[in-house]
Amino acid sequence: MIRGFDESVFVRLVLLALASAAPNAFPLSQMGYGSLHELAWILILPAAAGLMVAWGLLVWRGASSMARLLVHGAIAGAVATLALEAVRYPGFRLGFMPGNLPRLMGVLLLDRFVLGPSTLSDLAGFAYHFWNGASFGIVFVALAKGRSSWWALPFGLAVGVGFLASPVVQALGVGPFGRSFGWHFAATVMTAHAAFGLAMAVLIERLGGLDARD
Amino acid sequence: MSLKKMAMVGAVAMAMAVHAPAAGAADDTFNGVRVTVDSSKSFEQVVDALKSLVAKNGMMVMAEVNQGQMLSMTGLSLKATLFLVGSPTVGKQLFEQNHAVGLYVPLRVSVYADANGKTHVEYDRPSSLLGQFKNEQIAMIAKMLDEKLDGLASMAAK
Repeated sequence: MIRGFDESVFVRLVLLALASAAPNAFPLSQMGYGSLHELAWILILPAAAGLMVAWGLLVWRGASSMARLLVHGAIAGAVATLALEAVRYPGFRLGFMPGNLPRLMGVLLLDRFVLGPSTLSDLAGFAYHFWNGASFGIVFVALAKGRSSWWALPFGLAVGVGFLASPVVQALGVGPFGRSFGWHFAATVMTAHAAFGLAMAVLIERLGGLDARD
Repeated sequence: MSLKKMAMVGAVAMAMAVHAPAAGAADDTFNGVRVTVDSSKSFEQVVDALKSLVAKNGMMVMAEVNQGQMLSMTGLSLKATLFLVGSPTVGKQLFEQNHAVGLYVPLRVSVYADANGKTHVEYDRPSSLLGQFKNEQIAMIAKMLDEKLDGLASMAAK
């Protein structure tokens, strides 16, 4: 143990870095740092593997509470994505969204934009979409450990704002915050992310909250 | 053959002659407006810049045709990449007006190095290509696309 070195802060920073990789891959690809297809191989998958290794190390080191928190965060985030979908998909069908984002992510992941979606690309896109949810769940538990689970609601809203301000939205041709598409785009995104945050808060509470004492 | 049938065949033949170029004659007219932006940067730098700036101009790179790599298989040494750029949202608005826009959308932007190694960004101005559809909505969108491509090319080449 190094004097003054807070191992738990270090662990949380590592988890934060690994879990941030997948959600940032799409914006990074739109900023020109490689295609999403390339970033899947050099960033998303290695970071996911890194998270699994981190979990294994936590268990091996006897930090079972932190390991459990990591898993709970991932599960809560992935399941909460269903709540997001309950808003997003109807919003898309009603014309409030410029496109079906998971399907777009799928064609970008499999590098087949000009061919359009396939069953496999849809699978890849939705897997990435739900993995992003799981990743945000891990980011949340790493940031909010020891605090109330209800912080997940403002966290979800912050993620929504981050998305609206990101290069992804600009690349869709709807302007920052979708201002050239219409107010319903931002409203749908924010409502969907509020649903995500709320669902995640409930789930984390049900799974035992954010206390982790090892 | 009856007189009526002969008249019909003659009319069809005349109609075809009016619309088809004379055999052997090359049609060298070009109705688009070609824009070439020269750059003092290397080919690779311009390609990287273009990819990183596409999103800032409200578009995505939908496909990349690495013509240099493709033609290397023929023994030709060349640095040239064609980018298909656009946005699904704008594409939808155009296709809703006339499906034939598919000939020009996504937009084509070429980056190539000439024989002296100088890099150029080249494209045909969308309004000059899409004006043929004589549609107000298409014309409005095309003008917006002109500005996007102008911005993208000049930023990438700078």
